Order: sequence, then structure tokens, then C-alpha cells
Amino acid sequence: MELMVIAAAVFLVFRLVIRRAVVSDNAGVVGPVGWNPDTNWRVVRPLARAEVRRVLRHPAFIAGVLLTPLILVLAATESENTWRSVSAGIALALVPLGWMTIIATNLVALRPKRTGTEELFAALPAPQPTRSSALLTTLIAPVAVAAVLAIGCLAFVSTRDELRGSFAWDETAAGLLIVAGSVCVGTAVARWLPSAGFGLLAVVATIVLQARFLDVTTWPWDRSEGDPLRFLGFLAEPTDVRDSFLEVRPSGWHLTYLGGLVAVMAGVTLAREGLRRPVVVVVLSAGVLVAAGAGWMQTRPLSPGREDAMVAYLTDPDAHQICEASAGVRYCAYPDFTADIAEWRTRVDATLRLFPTGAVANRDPLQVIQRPAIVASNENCSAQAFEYSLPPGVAARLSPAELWPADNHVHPPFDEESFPCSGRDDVHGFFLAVQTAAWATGLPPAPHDDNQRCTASDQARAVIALWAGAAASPDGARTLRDVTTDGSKEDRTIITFAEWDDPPMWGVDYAVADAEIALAMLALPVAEVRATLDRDWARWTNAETSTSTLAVELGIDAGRTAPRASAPAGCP
Amino acid sequence: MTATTTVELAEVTKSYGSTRALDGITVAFGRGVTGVLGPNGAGKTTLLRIVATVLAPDSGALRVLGEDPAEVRGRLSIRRRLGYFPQEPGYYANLTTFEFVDYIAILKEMTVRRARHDEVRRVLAEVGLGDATHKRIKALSGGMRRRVILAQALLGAPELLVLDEPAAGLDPEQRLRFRETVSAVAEHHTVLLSTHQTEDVTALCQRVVVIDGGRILRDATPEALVEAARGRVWLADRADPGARLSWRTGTGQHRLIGDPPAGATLAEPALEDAYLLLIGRPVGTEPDVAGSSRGR
Repeated sequence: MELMVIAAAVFLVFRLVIRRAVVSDNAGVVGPVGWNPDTNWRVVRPLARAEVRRVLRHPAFIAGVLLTPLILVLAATESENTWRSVSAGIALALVPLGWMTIIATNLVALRPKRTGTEELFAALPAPQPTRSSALLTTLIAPVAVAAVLAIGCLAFVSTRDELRGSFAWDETAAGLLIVAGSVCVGTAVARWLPSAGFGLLAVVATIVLQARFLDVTTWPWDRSEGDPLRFLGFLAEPTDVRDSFLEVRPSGWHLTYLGGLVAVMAGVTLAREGLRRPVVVVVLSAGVLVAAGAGWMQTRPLSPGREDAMVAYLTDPDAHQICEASAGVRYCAYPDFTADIAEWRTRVDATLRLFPTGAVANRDPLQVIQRPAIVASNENCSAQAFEYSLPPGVAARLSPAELWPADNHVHPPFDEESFPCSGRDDVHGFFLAVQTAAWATGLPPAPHDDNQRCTASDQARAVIALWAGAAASPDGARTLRDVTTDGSKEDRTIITFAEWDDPPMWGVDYAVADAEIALAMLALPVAEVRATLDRDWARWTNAETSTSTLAVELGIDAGRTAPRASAPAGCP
Repeated sequence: MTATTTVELAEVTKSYGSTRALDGITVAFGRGVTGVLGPNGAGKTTLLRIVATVLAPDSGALRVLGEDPAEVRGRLSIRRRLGYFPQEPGYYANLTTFEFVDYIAILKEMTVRRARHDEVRRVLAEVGLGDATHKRIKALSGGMRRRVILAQALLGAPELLVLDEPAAGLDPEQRLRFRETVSAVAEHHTVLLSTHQTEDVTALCQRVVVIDGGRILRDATPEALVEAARGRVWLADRADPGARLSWRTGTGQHRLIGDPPAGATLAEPALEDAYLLLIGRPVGTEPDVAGSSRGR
């Protein structure tokens, strides 16, 4: 149905274009002359200068300029904490300026018709190709304005000291090319469909084109987010993979592709006066060839070597991560995330300090090894499998068992710890602390395979893990309470994070009743709880010890207790 | 086409649907001011639009400034040597007078900035707008706006000036100034002037072409036209139903055109009288042609 509506709209516009073209021919000499060997091309420069003033002073463009800083600030502050995502965010924030530029240039190009000066201007010698060329040349001004806005945004963003990587100018430049293309679109539409309404329709058409047909994750393509075909869109945002090595960005080719599209639109504008002119043929052919060539280059599958490297990057982290040891704990992070190790260490140390000194002495050393989250939030605040963000060739070669082996290590993900989209992000390492405490109490710290977790309801060690995680984190009691409430919305007995787009990498589904006991424990002095645990650590970390036993020992009214989960779901 | 002929039309026709605006017009214009007179819908504007190359005739031959406007190259050449004042010109209201005329100067291919600005200032001063260069057009009176359009028509001292009712809305002083400007241009160039103001024609034109129903009714000097009315214009104390046209003048007497009524005294004819005799109705009224429209 949708396809039929779009086809009907395209047909109607096509008919209108043809009809107008025919009417125009029949009208004879009305209007500026077309291509002419005697054309004085020196007119273009002063005319462009005059048209620039019209475009820059146009209310639609001014509205776009006023709106853009707000969107830029939003893009800069809401982006992931990497320079690449901020750079791409700036490009995205320039898109509304592009829309307003389409409207402004379209109305400027149509001004003779709208103000009744068409007849007067028709008797003037500058031929239409020079007038169109001048309008196309005005793209320099909106692009310069967009560049100034982008630079201002960069200056603002530079104050954020937590950004990883370096500024990716090639990502931001895509936004500038979109603004340049908007000038060409506005002018082309004015030339072929000379009514003001079509400028607005052009904006709608570009939005529909991008959202429907150039975004490969939507109907009718429904491909993965990491599919390179997404670069056929005007703007291909970074995936949600969040690691620069795994993020494939043929930005140079994409810029070339956009440049080709800009040339195509310029050629389409000039073709209004006749297709068989050398300059039109050259501009159109060059635009088509460049767009097609760069489009092909940027959508090629990865080379086998690159795929091998990416697979190894994920399945053999030892070979790619940077590790350091501290207080008997080994910390490993991918190169983009080495700065996070200090934060991890703080939280792990704080957690381990809550347990008896000899509690972990006989265990294998704790390893905190970064892994991608099995399920992570995408930009639309929806839960998304990690593989979905990878190039299809890489994703096909990975198995969950390889990516997330049941290795009993603590696994901080790439993402910052946070509540679901729009929720809190002041978690302060609580999720990592609970993973660490789970490891200390003998529970699986992180999920494995395709998000396999076990249920530790009515196990005293689960209560201890939650208590320790909260006690070792700033504002941990509040976080545990919120996690208990928000993470168990489905049935109110188990914290499954079913509705979370960005669930913590926990290997255990904890029971709500156990979390409530842990919250009650938080009201007790830490030394008192620690002393109790110290007295019989082996007992408390035994899977058979129930939560009520621990509660009685600590003098807590256990209230209701969770039913014990049995194998295979129950934690061994 | 002779050496002094600037515009030459032969059997030119133009129709709008079933209405024939120009019906086989053959005429030539040369240096000096030629007035084009006619009632509304007579075909004046169509004729001027065709000469100004913004409208193509349906049939007939046309040469302007030695070029054929049907050819793209010829049309461009004509436009480079043409100044045009359309009947309904339109404006970029948000621009200043200087910006607007400068914009048109660019479209007239004046590419050297300093020379162009000098020329813009010159034409604005020529039409008495030298002190209003920085006023926005939307802040100008109707008469001043028309002077802006006249200024742009004068850019580059065009060889052919086509003016379609340029004096409408001008006050008496402005009108005199307008006559001064146009007559100066006409010393060396060709001016085609369509107007309803017979005083302007009398004051400016060496030649008058009277059009009605798409045909040329008379092509003569103003003096010859006036002479043709001699003995047909009368003054009487009362109106005469038998007169072709009559009206009460400021002196209280009735001016009658046509055959003399009893007791009337012969009056000195004016161009307007001659025109009325020719057209058979006052200036500005509609012809008896079905489907005619203003500005045709």
C-alpha cells in the first residue's frame, strides 16, 4: 500500500514536470534565454554575491541558523562519549539547517515568480544557466555558516574532558555537504517545479527517502545496523558497537559519494535548460560516476583480512587488550577504554574490601576483562543484540559461545553503566561491583553464550552479592532500590531487566525478595555485616544456605522469601 | 529595414485562446519617441511585450535592433541593448532601491562592480531618486516605485527603450522630469511609449500609433492627428445627444466631437479629441470586443 502511494506521488510529480516543460516550450520566448554561445559567464560571480545576500537574509535560513545551535548542543551533550560519535552528531545536527536551506534557496530562486518581477527579469540578458549557476554557487555561504556553527559546537564540546579518541572531521564534513546539497535541491526543484509548495515537499521527500529507502535497517530492506549498504544514505550514523576498531567508517568514500550527489543535483538544475550541453553532460556524468563509484566502494564487504582481524579482536581479547595488574586483580581493556581501568579498580577494590581477608585467597585470581555487552541500547533506546551492529561478514563468523564464554571473569562492557534510556546514568559502578561480589561469593559474575544467566533466588550468597555491590558504590542503596523496582516490572519476583534496553552484564537473575533483604542489610553497620560474614564465609557462600538463614543471623525480618529456583535455571 | 529603423513588425499576430490580441500588425519604429495609444485591451501591451522579447508572436516576421528574437542568439543580443518597463513590473520589496537596481544591473551583465555602482547611482539620480538609494522599496510611494523601474530601464543607456504606461501614478513634477529623461534618451535612441496620457504623447512623441482591436487604426505625427480632427470639435452651451462624444468642461460649456450642433462654435482640437474621434470612445474605456481584457 505504502509503495503504491509513493509510486502514485512520483508519477504525479513526473507528469507535472513534463507538463510544465511542454507548456514552457509552447509559451515561446517568455523567460530568460537558455544556453547561448554568447553567454557572459562573468555575471555568475556578482550575481552569486547578490543571491548570497538573499539566501542568508531569508527568514527560513535564519530560522535554521537560530535552531541549529540548540540542536548542536543537544547532539554534543547527548552523544556517546567518543569524539567519533560527537563528530557524527554534529553532522546530524546540521540536517535541519539543510532542510531550511532547501526552503530558503527554493523561495529565493522562485522570487521573480512570487513578486511579479518575472516579466521584467525575462527581458534581461543574463541567460538562465548563468542565473542557475549563480544560485548553485551560493552554496558556499550556507556551507560557511554551517562550518562556523560546527566549529562553535566543537569549541563547546572540547570542554567535555571525558571524550575518547579524536575529532573526526570527515564525519562532520558530511553535514556540510548535506547543506551544500540542500542548495542544489532547492534550486533544482525551483527550476523544474516552479511553485513554492514543492520546496516544502522536497524537504519531506528527502526525509522519506533517507528514513525509508536509504536507511537499510528499515522497511523494505530490514538489514542489520552494521550493513555497509547504510552508507548509501545521506548520513550513516555510527553503529552502536561503540569501539573504534569494530566501527567500519569509509568516511572518505562517503564524502566523495555525497559530493557526487551534490554534482548530480547541480547537473539536474542546469539540465532544465537542455540536457545536451557539454557542461551539463560533464557535471551530470561526473556526478553520477563519482556517486556510483564511491557508493560502490563504501558498500563493499570487508576484506577477509579485516574480517579476520575483527573476529580475532573479539574472540581473542588477550591479544588486543591492554592489561594491568593491581592488588592481585588483572584488568584488561580494549585500547579505546584503557582510561576506564582506574574506575574499575576503584570499584573492585571497594567491593573486595567488604569480604573476609582470606575469602578469595584460595580462588583463581580475579580477572576483570572487558567484553561487549550481549544486549545493548541502540540510539532509539531499544535493546539490540551486539552482533546486529557488526558488519554482516564478521557477525556470521562469530558464535555467542566464542564471544561470551562461561569463564567466570568479571566483564565490564563498552557502554557506560546506566538505567534505561532517559533514566539515570549516575550508577557509579554499581553493576560492576555486583559482578565482582558475585564472583567473590561463587556466583557467575557475567552472562555467557546467548545471554545465559542463572537464578539465585533464596541463596544467601545472592543477597551478599547485592549488598556488597550496593555498599561498595556511592549512593548504592538508592541504585539497588531503583534496580529492584525497574528491573522486575514483568513479574515482581525476579530482576530480569526484561524491559531494559541496556541491561547490566550480570550472570545472575536476582530475586526481588533477596534484594529487599540486601536493602535491609544496608541499614546495618558495614562492620557488623562484615563480622557476620567473616565468622562463617564458607557457609554464607554455600548455594544451599538460604536467605532466611542469613536474615535471622543478622536480625533482619526476612518477610517473604523467594522460592528457590531449581536446576537448570538455578545457580549451582 | 532602413538604417534608422530599429523595430520592424510584418503581419504579426498573437492570440490568447480565441481572443486575437494582435491581428496582422505591420509597423516599423525608428529613432525618437513613438507613442502607442489605444483603449484598454487594444493590444498595446502585447505589442510592447513582443518587441521586448518576453512574448513570441504566433506568426509574422519581427526584427528588433537588427536581430531576430526568435533565435536564441538574437534574443540575447536584443536584451543586451534593451530597456524595458513592463506594465506591471513587480518589486523585491525588501531591497533598497540601490540593491534592486544593482541586482538588475548585474542581470544586465554589468560585471565590473565600481562601474556598475556608478551607473546605478547615475540612473537613480536621473529619475530623482538620488536621495532614496538606501530606502527599502516597500517604504516608497507608488510613484517612487515606478521611478525605480524607470531607473532600471535606463541602465546602460539602451538603444531601445520600451515603456508600458510608465507615467501612471507620477505627480506633475515627476511627469515633467520623466519627459525630460525620455526625451534625452530619444535624441539618439528609440523609445516606444505606451500610455493613456495624451499630454505625454503631445509633449514627447514625434509619432503616434493608434491601436484598437489588435489593428493599427492610424500611424501619424501628433500634429497630423490633431489636424484630422480640425472642424470636428465644438463648444456649445448644452449637451447634444447627436454628438459622438460630449462632456461638460470646467468653463461650464460642453465640448462636443462630431457633427456641429446648432449654436456651437468651432474649437481648437487637441490630440485627445483626435484620438476620441478615431476610437469613438473616451480614453481608458473598453472596446466593443467580446473577451477583451486590460493590458492585452
